[in-house]
Amino acid sequence: MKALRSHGAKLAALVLVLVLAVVPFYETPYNNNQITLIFIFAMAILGLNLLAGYTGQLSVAQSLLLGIGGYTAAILVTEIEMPHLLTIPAAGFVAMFFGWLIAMPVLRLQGFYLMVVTLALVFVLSPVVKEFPSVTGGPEGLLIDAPEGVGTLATDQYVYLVALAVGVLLFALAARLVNSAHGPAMKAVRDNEVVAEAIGIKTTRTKTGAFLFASAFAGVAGSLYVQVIGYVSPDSFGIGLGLALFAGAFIGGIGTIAGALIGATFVQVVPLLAGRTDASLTGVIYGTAVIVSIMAFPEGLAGLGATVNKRLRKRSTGTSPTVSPDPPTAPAATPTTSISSSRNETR
Amino acid sequence: MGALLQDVMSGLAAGSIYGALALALVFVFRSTGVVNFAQGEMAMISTYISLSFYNLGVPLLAAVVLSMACSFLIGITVERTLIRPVAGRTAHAASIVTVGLFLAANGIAGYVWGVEPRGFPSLFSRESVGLGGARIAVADLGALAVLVVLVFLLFLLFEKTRVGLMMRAAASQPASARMAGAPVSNLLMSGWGISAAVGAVAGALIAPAVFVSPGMMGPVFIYALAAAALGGLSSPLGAVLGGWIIGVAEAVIAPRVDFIGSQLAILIPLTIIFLVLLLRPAGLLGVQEVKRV
Amino acid sequence: MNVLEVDDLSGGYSATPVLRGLTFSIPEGGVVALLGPNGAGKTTTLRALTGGLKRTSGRMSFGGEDLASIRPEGAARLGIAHVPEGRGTLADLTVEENLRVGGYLLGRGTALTEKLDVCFGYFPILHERRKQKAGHLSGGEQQMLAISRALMLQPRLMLLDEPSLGLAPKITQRLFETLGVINKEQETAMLLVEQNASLALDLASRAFVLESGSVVLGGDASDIRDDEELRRAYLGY
Ligand SMILES: Nc1ncnc2c1ncn2[C@@H]1O[C@H](COP(=O)(O)OP(=O)(O)OP(=O)(O)O)[C@@H](O)[C@H]1O
Ligand SMILES: [Mg+2]
Repeated sequence: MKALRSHGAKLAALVLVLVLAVVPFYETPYNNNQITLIFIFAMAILGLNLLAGYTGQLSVAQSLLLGIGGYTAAILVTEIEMPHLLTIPAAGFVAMFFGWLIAMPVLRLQGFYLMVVTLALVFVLSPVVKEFPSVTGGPEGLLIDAPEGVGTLATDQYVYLVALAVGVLLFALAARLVNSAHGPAMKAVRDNEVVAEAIGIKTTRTKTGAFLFASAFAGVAGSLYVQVIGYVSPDSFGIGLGLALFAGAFIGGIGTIAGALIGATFVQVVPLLAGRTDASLTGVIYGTAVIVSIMAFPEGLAGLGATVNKRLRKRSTGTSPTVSPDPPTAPAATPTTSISSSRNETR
Repeated sequence: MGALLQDVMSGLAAGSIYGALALALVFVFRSTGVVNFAQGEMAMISTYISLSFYNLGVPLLAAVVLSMACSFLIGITVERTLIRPVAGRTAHAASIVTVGLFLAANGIAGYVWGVEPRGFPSLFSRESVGLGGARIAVADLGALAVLVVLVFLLFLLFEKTRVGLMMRAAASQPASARMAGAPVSNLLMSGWGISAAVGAVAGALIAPAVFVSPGMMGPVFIYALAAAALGGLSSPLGAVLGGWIIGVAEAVIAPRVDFIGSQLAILIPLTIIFLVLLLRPAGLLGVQEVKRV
Repeated sequence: MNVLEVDDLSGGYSATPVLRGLTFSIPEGGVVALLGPNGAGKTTTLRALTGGLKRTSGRMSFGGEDLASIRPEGAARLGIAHVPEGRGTLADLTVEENLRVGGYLLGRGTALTEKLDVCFGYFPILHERRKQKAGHLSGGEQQMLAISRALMLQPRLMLLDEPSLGLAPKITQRLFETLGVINKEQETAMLLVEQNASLALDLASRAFVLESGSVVLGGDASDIRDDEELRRAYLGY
């Protein structure tokens, strides 16, 4: 996140936030909710970005953790009438706890085991949730009342602004984290665990820490998710969403924070566009985009400028510099504001 | 007693299917060090291809064999166009590509063949035979037999043929194999092709039970991953044993423990994965890898 | 007649140039020692000859064939066998399987078994261990295996990268004697990279000393061996 350090990028981020903050006053409730969902997915992807992009650990469990956050919030609101705002940190902590349970046995091992385990885990949430209908509402899920609007704000505007504020907070947190001494440590673990270990980095701890951050971010996102959608159901958080978030992280640019917002926009918009022809195209587009972004632009769309620059430079000088893993980040793109039909699950 | 025997047999049959898919995973992992997360989806596509041939009037067995040939071509194409370009990068890059392939294959199948489940005829008769007071389905025996034959053929290929020897060499020390003049890249490519063909067999075995749909392989693939992890990702025999253990565990435990039932059966492979990772990360027959810089 | 000619060769890895205008040659059937301090570029030279380096300028030719765009598989086909630094053992294959891999280009025929017997003749211990996993061999045995694997190619030129590395002096001595026999009987030319200069100079007919990627001294092996001043200055003994 060199970019956020530089003044230009800081200014761009500020302008972006200000623009986003006035959007809900001019948009329909429907569109506001759609953009709020983009913020929510961006949080989950941001967490995955810290985990996969910076620390090199692949996981498809963000959907599961988002679901855990969502159920936590829904249960707290329906059972003990906890205020909606308070469920946000609560969901983050509960998801973090579950993340810890997953991370503990797995992260001591070689990288692909995390992927193996998380792939299995995303299939578990739905049957487990259905098994305990008294708490979770079983197959029907749980309905929760939407949070009241505040003052002159309508509910959709209110939730939008809360999500924006939480999002800004998480982005700032992530930027701080990767700019601290932990950032280089995470990258060292990603690039070569054995070497990282040799220079005194506690690799298991670093990986676990990244996984806890990713879990907490997903949990927070889950709480906001139920506040937008108004209900949770067991089948919303399966492999389809897990893979979509995974794809979003790589499409937006893994290892770049701005990429999370681009990736989330992609995750939210592609199904809407694809759904007009054939919902199955969503998977084709996600998959192709992941493959293309990994093969052609290792830094994803957020690093597009950097990659292209590098290629041009390479061609003009005729030398072959190795691609550095830390590209200067392009400023984040503004998400599309005209979204006009409902989201489809990949499966 | 009869009921237990019956459950063990059907567990072995299911386990044979997991084992077949696990075998495909191991084959790729051994020859290229990549966990192919799209293995299940590739097998799903293969199953659609089998079904398409069958619907054209080709006898079922021939349809599956034709599909194996197509799958081989798909496998080598995937290796050459998608995996090879990122092979020099981190091990992750190839895995990420296979996740992309997972998504794409799933979408392509839905686009081409639709998402409604379709029936798939069984390769075996629907009869059952009596054995020690239990009724054993012929299809179960068939699945078991197919896996045993498959493992035997792969064993012959690896251990008794020159190509198999060179494939092992290419996987173990590509540089040395290359220095001996071996076409290492073609060997790796064939590894992907063979594993895709093996996946086609797994698909044809499972399809009568789960029907053919883009999502048909989801849970099956998890079981196969668990089987491969249990057996040790690099051991073909381990994959088969892993598949059988998981299949039998599921078939024996699920009907006997109320809490588990059919919904929560997925917890069985998951628990097994966790136990293996905690107790013996290299798997039953795997070799503990030495980490190198 | 030279089997290998290297003329003004430069090249290296993406970031670092290693070889700088390297020139030397190997006569048909001769043994040439390539000496020099750590990091001089000896291993890199061998890699360049078998297509392990992407970009090189200058000329390399083998038996009249240009090696400019050589790849490892192609080098093997031309008859260049590489015994790499670290031996390149196929650890989970048996000893005999290792040799069969080395003889890949011989096909399935009797040539393969004949060649196996030739190797076992030079290194009887490998015959004893032929059913064992190669990873379980001792370092010396693995070195013999690596040499035998190269021999299976029936090479015109064998590139040997520090065959003495990690071996006891006695074993090294015997290994070098066998290399001498192989050179005579099989008429295989050898390019021998060594830290053990004195042994290498005994075996070789010509020698080159490499420093920072170029040849700083070249001549008859016996001349260098017998000139104490030269040895002190360039080889440090
Ligand atoms: N794969 C590589 N990538 C980048 N640089 C390399 C690589 N291999 C070697 N080098 C560098 O090239 C130079 C020459 O290395 P080389 O291995 O050829 O030396 P050497 O003469 O064989 O030394 P030694 O006697 O220690 O084996 C060294 O500075 C080394 O750091
Ligand atoms: Mg060297």
